[in-house]
Amino acid sequence: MAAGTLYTYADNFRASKALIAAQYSNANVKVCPNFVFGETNKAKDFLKKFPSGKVPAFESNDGKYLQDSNAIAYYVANEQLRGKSDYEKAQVLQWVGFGESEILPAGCAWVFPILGVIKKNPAAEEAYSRAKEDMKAALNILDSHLLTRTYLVGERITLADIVISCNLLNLYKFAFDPEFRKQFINVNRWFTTLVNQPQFKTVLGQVQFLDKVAQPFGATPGGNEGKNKKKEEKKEKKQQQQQQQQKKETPKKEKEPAEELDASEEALAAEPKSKDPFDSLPKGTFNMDDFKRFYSNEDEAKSIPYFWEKFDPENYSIWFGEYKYPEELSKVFMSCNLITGMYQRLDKMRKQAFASVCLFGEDNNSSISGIWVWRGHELAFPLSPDWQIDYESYEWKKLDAKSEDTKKLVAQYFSWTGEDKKGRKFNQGKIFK
Amino acid sequence: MVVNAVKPLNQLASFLKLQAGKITFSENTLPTRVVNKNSTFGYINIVIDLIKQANSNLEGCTDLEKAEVRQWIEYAILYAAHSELSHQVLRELNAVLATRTYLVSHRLTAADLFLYYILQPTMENLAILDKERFVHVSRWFDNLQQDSSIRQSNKLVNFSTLYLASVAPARH
Repeated sequence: MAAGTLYTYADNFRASKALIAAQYSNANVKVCPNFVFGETNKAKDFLKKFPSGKVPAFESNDGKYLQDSNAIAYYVANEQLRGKSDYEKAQVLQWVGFGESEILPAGCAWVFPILGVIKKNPAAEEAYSRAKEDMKAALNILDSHLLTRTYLVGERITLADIVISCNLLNLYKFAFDPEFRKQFINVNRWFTTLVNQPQFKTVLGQVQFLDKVAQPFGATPGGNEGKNKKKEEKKEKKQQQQQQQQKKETPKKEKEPAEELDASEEALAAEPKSKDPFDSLPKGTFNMDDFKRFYSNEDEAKSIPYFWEKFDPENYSIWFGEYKYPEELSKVFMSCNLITGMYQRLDKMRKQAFASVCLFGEDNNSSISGIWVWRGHELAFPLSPDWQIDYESYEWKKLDAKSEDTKKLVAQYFSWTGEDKKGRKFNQGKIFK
Repeated sequence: MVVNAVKPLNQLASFLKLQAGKITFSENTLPTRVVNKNSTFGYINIVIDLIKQANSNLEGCTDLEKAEVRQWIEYAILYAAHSELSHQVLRELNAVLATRTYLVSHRLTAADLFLYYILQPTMENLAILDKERFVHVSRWFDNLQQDSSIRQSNKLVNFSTLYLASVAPARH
């Protein structure tokens, strides 16, 4: 049985194919623990083994080398996954090819702008607008195939299912909104079944489907692109470097879409790993989920006393955050988008944080401020680079959990009442939960 | 009750690699299973006994799954086992299986197995157009019967005309 080491960055859907296959075959595949993207795979001895320097790459314990995720997955799989007869094997190959040529290009063109790993440019925008139609065509083929079949080949899970579901993984997580998904019930059923198999779950964790419409190129509805500028600039720089690098490597070759994908993949790899940054802080006794549930279901007359009863001042802190540039706020709906956009970008904070942010005043005369609660006593945003897009536009003040003033503020913001410092009346509130 | 109610029990026992024992069933007496001088009375009890005895996760892993499995077994006996209700049952199952691969959770459970055994005669005699009409049931059934340890000596029901569906997709 195959055994060896897989070189990859974390959460790489390509590497997941091999890791899931190994779960089925019980092949002993370890992920190289100290892999650093852009370093390990550019080192001399790595390039000697894997000349393209691409990952995932596989080194077996008996000194065999393999590149390309599908090939690695095939190598570490078992007979069931590869297909039992020659015909089944050929069918598996057919679907692997379909996954690579029909699904992946459109998938990348769709999902990378949403993840912000390619910057806005005419080519990417054109590809993005085409991607949806191309993807629809591919999914229609898949959907009618799966109408009469449970799995792609031979009524059992094979590599074909693993490869195509992994190619669709980021799309289900970040691109396919509920309305779009509705058209493909058979694909949905098949995909849901797969990602809930224990072998998939071990590798992928719980897969959350997108519950809203995703916005490409860092835009949020209502638009506050300026806020993303810094991040984009950073990305741009990185990409330029990568492109230069690529130019050096392949001086004569035309720049192909495939290369573009690799550049964005690299950026994807540079994204922080999805570990909860709050993990390093003590858990305390305050149960965020319980409180949120209580708050959602009960009247504030009950939920505010509940909050103070359960709140754990040892391990949690309360903050007042106020938008620094109220004079820039114009339309109310745009300001609300500013808040919800921030919430979206702070998505991973949700588990350990709660906030009620309110907008006071009216069009062209308003302010934004809110009460935040999170684990730990420091400002939470520096914990993850993902969270640093918006917070500098706010003035942050830690509140003393024991003081009466704090209690009043909490009551005001949790129950969406009162007015701001300048006497503007409460207009709208948004809850981060 | 349907004519041959004993066969599904025997098949379930055989799949679970259990001794079916002596199962008796008639118009006027309670269904009875006798194995090693222990008797179980009542149809549902016999099914659940078998599943529990097998000690596998086919029974369901969580309490919710276990409850759902039992609910489907009850459904199988009360409705699916009656051939005069077959169209209603197929319609209901078709709606459930449109979005699900298996009846409970995301894997095979005793719910699928038992319903498969109960529905075998119905599916064998189903007209091609009805197989097409209840396409999600057909797909689910076909997936189960392709496993020879599940199917045992049952006839392999032919769904192959369903390829028409992918050539000229019907609106289901």
